[in-house]
Formats: sequence, C-alpha cells, structure tokens
Amino acid sequence: MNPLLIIDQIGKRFGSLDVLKDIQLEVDQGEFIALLGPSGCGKTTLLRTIAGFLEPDRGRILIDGSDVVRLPPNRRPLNTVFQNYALFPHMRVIENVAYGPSRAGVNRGEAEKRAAEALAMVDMATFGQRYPRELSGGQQQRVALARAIVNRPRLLLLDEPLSALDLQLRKKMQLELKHLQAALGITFIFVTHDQQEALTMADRIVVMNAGRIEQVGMGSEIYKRPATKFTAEFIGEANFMKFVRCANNTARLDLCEQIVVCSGTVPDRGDAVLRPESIRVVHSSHELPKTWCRLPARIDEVVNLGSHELVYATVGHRLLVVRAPVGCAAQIKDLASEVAFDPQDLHLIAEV
Amino acid sequence: MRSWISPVQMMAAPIAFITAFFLVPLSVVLLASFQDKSGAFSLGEYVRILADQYHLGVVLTTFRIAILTTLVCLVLGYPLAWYLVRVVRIRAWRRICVILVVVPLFTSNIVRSFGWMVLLGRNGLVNDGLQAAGLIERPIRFLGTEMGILIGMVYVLLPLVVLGVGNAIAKVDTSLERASADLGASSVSTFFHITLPLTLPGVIASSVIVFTLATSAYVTPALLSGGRVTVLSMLIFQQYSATFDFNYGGALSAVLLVVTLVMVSLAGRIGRGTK
Repeated sequence: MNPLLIIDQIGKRFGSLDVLKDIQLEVDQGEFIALLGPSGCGKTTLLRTIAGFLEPDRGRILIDGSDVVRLPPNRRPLNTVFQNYALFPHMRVIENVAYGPSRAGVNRGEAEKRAAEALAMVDMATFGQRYPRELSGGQQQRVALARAIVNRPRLLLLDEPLSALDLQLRKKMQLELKHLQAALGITFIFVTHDQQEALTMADRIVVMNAGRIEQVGMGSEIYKRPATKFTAEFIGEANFMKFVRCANNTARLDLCEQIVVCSGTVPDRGDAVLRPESIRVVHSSHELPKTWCRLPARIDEVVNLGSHELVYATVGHRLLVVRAPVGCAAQIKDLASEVAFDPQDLHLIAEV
Repeated sequence: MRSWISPVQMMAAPIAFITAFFLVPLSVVLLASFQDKSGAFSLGEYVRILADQYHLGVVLTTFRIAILTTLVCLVLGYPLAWYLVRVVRIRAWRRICVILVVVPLFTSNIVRSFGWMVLLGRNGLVNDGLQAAGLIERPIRFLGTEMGILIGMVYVLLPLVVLGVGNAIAKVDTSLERASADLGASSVSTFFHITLPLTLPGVIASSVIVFTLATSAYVTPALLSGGRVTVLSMLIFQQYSATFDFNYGGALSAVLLVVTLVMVSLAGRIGRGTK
C-alpha cells in the first residue's frame, strides 16, 4: 500500500532562519502521528505547510500520490482542528459544523443532518442551537473536532488542540481522540509539545528540533532507544554520562572508574543515557548481581509524587535522578547509601 | 476621611451642559414648529412641507444624496480599509496611507469644498484630465449638480468609513478565515460568510455616522451646488437667516431629526440581528 502522505524534502525559510530543513516523512493511511518538539521547533510550521496556509520554499507534499503544494487550502483533501478552535462566533454550533458540507455543495437539510451526526460522535448532539461563546473550552474543542471530521477528510491535522484544557479534561480527551481516530479510520497528524500526550495517543512520534526531524518511531522505541541526546532529554527524564569504548562491548563511564559491559556494539565515544527507573537506591550491604554498577551516593532530596518518588542523589559531582518506590529512600537515608544500575540498561548514543 | 466625587456630582456638569445648550434650544425649535404665526398650536407648518412639491423635493434630494454618499463611501472605503489592514506589510507605508486618509479631516470644510470647486469646474483639473484622456469631448457639468455634491461629500466622509471599517477588519481573527478555507470555502465565499458578517457591526456604525453627517451637511452642498441644488440644511438656514420664519424652520428641522433617527434605529436593528 502506498503511503497516504509523503513529505519530500520540504524546506522553509523565514528571513535568515531555516524553520524547516529538508523534512522527509511518510505517513500511512489510518496512522496516528504526533509531531513533538519544543516551541519554535517547526512543528506548527510543518502542519501549516501541509494544510496549505504556508507555501514551502522547496520540496513536495504528496497526498495519495499527487502533489498538493500549489493547491490552496480549500482544495486539499484534509481538515484542521485549530489551536484556538477558530469557531465562527456568529454561527450556531450546528451551522459551524454544517459549514464544511455546505461549502461542498450539499443542500442545507443534508448538511445539517451530517453536522448532527458529527456532533453526536463527539457527544455534543444537544448543543446544536448554542453559540460558541455559550460553551466551555472543552465543549468548544469538541465542536471544533466535529466540524473538522464532518467532511470525512483523508487526513486530519490537529494543532495543539488540547493545550488550553485543564489536566483532567486533557487526559480524558486524549483517550477519546484516540478512540475516535480508531473508529473513523482517518489519519491524524497531531502537533504537541507535551511528550506525555504524544506517548498516550500516537502510533508513531516524530520528534522535531530546530527545523529538523530528530527521530521517527513508536513511543516505546524512542523512549528506549533515543537516537540523539535531544530526544533522550525531551522524551521522559534522562541521566547522561560520557562514555569511551574500551574493548568490544565494554565501556568506561566518566561517572566511575569501573569498566562496564554493555549490550550490543559500543561506539567509540558518546553519551550514555540512563533512565531514572533503571537506577536503584540501595543500602551498601544490599546484594546485587556482580555485573551491576554500584556507586556510593549522597541522597539530597526526595520528592514524593504519590505513586512513586524521585530521589536526587549526588554521585561524585554529578546529580542523578532516580525513580524509586515510595518510602524506599527513607529507609536508607541516614545510612550508607548507594545507587546501582545494570549496565545493560545503558543506552549509548554515538558522538557525531 | 476619604473624599470622593459621587456619580451625581460627576454627571452634574455634563447634564447641565447638555440641558442648557442642547435640550433647551431643541425644545424651543420644536415648540416653534407646532405654532402658527400668532403663537397658537398648529400643525400647519408640517402640512406645508407635505403640500409644497418643491420643499418635499428638497427633503427627498437630501436623503437621496445622503444614502448615495453612504453607499459610495462603503464601496470605496471597505476595500481601502482591507488594503490598509490586511495587505500592507510595511509599517511606514501603512502609516503614510493612514495619514493621507485622515488629513482631509484636519483641513477646514470650506477650504476643501473650494478645492473641489476648482477641480470640478468647467476648466478644472477633472474635466481637463478627462478631455486630455479622450474620454469626453465636452466638459461635464459637475458644479451645481447632485453628482458634484456627492463627490464632495464622499471625499469629506470617506476617512470615517475607512477608520471605522478598518478597525472592524482588524478585530477579525484571521484563524477564522483560515478555518473557512480549510473547510473548503473559496476566498470569495469566505468573505461573504465569515469576514463580512463579522465586520457588519463596524460597517453599520460607520454608515450611521456618514449618513447623519451627510443629511445635516451644509457647507459642502452649499458651495458645490452653486445655488442650483438645495438640500434640507440649506432650506432650514434660509428660514432662519433670510425669511425669519422660525415656525417653518423648526418644522423642517424636526423632519430632518426624525427621519435621521428612524434611519439610525433601523440600522441599529440590522446590526443587532447579525449578532
């Protein structure tokens, strides 16, 4: 099967700033893609380029094999959910949602019937006669979603649509969006700066930074095997240390003198990533496998987050973040404490 | 102890001012309109307006010119406002354009109208230009025609529309227009479904201002009419300054006021209907 969307060498420059640098991406029919990155990384620019609100300086955008770069937004087979929802304030909810079908030449009765169906899909069936200003933020968000899916586009673009909602509602909407996407079979491209949101919803995550794609992959894969230091830092929390290769599969870390045995091949030098949940805080008398790396540590701070706690421990001159079960650090706080990890859990990123 | 001005004290000065210089004179004028020469109550002056073909014609001419002025101002002013707000990217150029639009408001009405008399005359710049371009063979008579008055009035009142409508256009969130395009609307369709309805309150407010100023304008029509066209304000002026008929002048003023108020409230109703 051919990809639904092919972004081919897209580049865009604002003044002297490259906001998109040779973006290359393929998206399959029915996929849920998250464009993830910090503000200013180019993710929204990329979305607007796909939607047709910005013309790229170079490159092609193929939807179903045909290049749409020269097409105006109203002639592209896609719809957008805008960050501020962009509901038409002078129209009732039902008119807002019927706007798409009406422009496509559907008669009024049929357009409103389709609008009512779309509203029902987002649990807003009873709000048709209201004006947008009479709705809460979450309700407006649902209307914006209904308006964008009513024409059954091949591709739905979502520009940080949940960013204005409070945390509880956001989490609820994340799951609802995922279910809706699965039910409709529409390809979603979702822009967010929230890694949790991306991990929750997306089939594949596109990590962007400074106008480039850093890495594309499934959430778990990106988390476990980040391709760059940026990705490791941006997705989840990470402890970094420098490493140098010693022999075939052993490396020396700048954290300790011990030579550790790593999994897979070891690059010459680079950054080793260690996730907080891979580290344990233990008493010096605690038994651990011989291959583990253990270091004397001073526990500086314990932050209880309810389900777990974050322990900030100083090893040498370095601060490590450890994710530990609640109460774990308290037991050994005043005694000789150590941090320990299995070197197999180190992820090595080669220096470029 | 804290000293503060109560709302009553605050409002006292403006209320006194409006009463002394607006409500009282207005009452005098209206009372006079309901009296005959002997001072007895009479509707005779109003009957006179309706009965006199010439005077009724003046009323109709006045409102015809005012309505045309409003429409022409909107047709010219809306695109100009659009250009200034949405198209111009360079700030300096936008500032120059706004100054050019606003400058007529700073010059004396009499000077502006004399300027148009010179431009629109038989051998004025407009006729010379049209002849040189081969568009006309003989000079067109502008002065002393409704067309001449219309040109002068549009020139005077256009800045108000550009500023009013420009403000309304600037307030429209461009993401609404993007959303419209995204949903399949062409730019023309987006304009009529989204932009125009959202700017309509501004359009109506500007129209009301232009219309009221156009119906009550005196200097521009007086100078550009050359005595050949008479509008209501000129007729009223004649009653008070030449014939000293305060009763008839009052009745004409009342007609001007009432018709204008009716038009303004109609416009207000249309404005509310769109919200």
